[in-house]
Amino acid sequence: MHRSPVIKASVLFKSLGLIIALVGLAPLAYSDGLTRVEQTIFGMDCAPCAYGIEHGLKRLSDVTDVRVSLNAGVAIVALTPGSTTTIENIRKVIRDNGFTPKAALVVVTGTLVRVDGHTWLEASGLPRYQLTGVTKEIEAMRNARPSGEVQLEGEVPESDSTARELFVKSLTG
Amino acid sequence: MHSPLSTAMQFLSATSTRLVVLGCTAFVGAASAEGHGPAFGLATPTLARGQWSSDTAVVQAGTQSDDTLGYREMLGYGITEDLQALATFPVRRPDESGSGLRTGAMMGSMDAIEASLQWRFHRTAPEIGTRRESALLVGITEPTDDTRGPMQIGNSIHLAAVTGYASRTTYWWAGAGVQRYFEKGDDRPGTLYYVTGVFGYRPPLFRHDYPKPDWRVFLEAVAESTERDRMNGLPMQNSGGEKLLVGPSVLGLYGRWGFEAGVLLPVAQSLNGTQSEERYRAKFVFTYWF
Repeated sequence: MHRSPVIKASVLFKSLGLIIALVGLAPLAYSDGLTRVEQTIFGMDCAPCAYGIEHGLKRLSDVTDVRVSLNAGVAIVALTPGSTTTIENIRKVIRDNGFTPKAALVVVTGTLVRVDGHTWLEASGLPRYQLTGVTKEIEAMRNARPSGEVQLEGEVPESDSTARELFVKSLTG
Repeated sequence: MHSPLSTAMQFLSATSTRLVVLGCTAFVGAASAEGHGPAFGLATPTLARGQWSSDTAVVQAGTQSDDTLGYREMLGYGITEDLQALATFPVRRPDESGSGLRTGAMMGSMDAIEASLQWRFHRTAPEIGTRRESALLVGITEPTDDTRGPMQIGNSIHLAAVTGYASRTTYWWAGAGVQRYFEKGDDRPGTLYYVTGVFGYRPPLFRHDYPKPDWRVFLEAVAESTERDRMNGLPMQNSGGEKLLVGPSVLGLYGRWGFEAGVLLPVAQSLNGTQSEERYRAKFVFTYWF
């Protein structure tokens, strides 16, 4: 039995409404675990350049403070714990201003997990950063506190393809 | 003699054309702030994606016979970080003489609305605080008056290219452009060819870190070659020629505000006829970034 065009349209609209409602209810972003980012920037030479970057970074969610240094070529971003802002969000602001983001020093919070033979920092229930660097200390910490929260300080490479690697320089429980 | 209706129609037609020029620019976005760089020479764009800017300029140019004062506004918008749109227009109509003068490579003639797109097609950032880049500029103009002196004025197209270097200590840009008018009736102002060169320096005293004020000084040079104007299809004797102007400018930036002042003085002039020689060009610009 064929449905009338009116019924078909009604079903279509209901389906669309359901999809929109589900999308609206779904969490749009997970925390990346970032609490501090010191992003190196190449090419930034003038006060309006710094102003544009500062202005753009302050508009990201969960950002509490932004400081830009022209002479050091760096933007320092402080974020609330559980922030949904990612390193990619920060670098997009830099690129949208016409400058080049390089490696970043970050402070991240999460738990240590083992995935496919590698140790990752997990935040919001998802592996966020594959950890390299002080591997012995990382493993010792993971064994000592298998589900405890840790805070790491390390460097994220400049390349987007490796932006999920974190070279750990120090870690605290 | 024109009827009131035809006069009104002509007015509406001219107004609508101007609105289209402005509207096109507003639609695609608006401009690179001239306040980032030199006052008179070409420079590469700097607006961020989605960023607006406003440049308000007071320009005065003097010849041996008179002085011309003009006020211009330039709106800028970053369509992307490498593509910017500019709309520049006179806030107050200048005096008639000298009104065809370009008030800066990117700010158009005193008596015209100009809409431009600037595309930064090359950009590298080799280290902190340093970048090299190149850009192309294409613009169209719509005159605010039907005539300039006895000559009818049509639309024109402006093309330019610029390459440059920026750092925390020095800047330089080198560029060249051409502005060619379309015929109106049998009249056409002479095509303008120009080359600009800019060297900038930020003295150690002004290398404070953001958000402290940022100052720099420039030495600017503009070389122009203008073809003879044509009236009724014939070249006008006292028009066109070559000029070389050189002068300093200074740029101060603080947060979202910028101030710039500059003056150009003629070093050499070779005019085609007996028209007055140019004595100076002066410019003050206030810039605001939204």
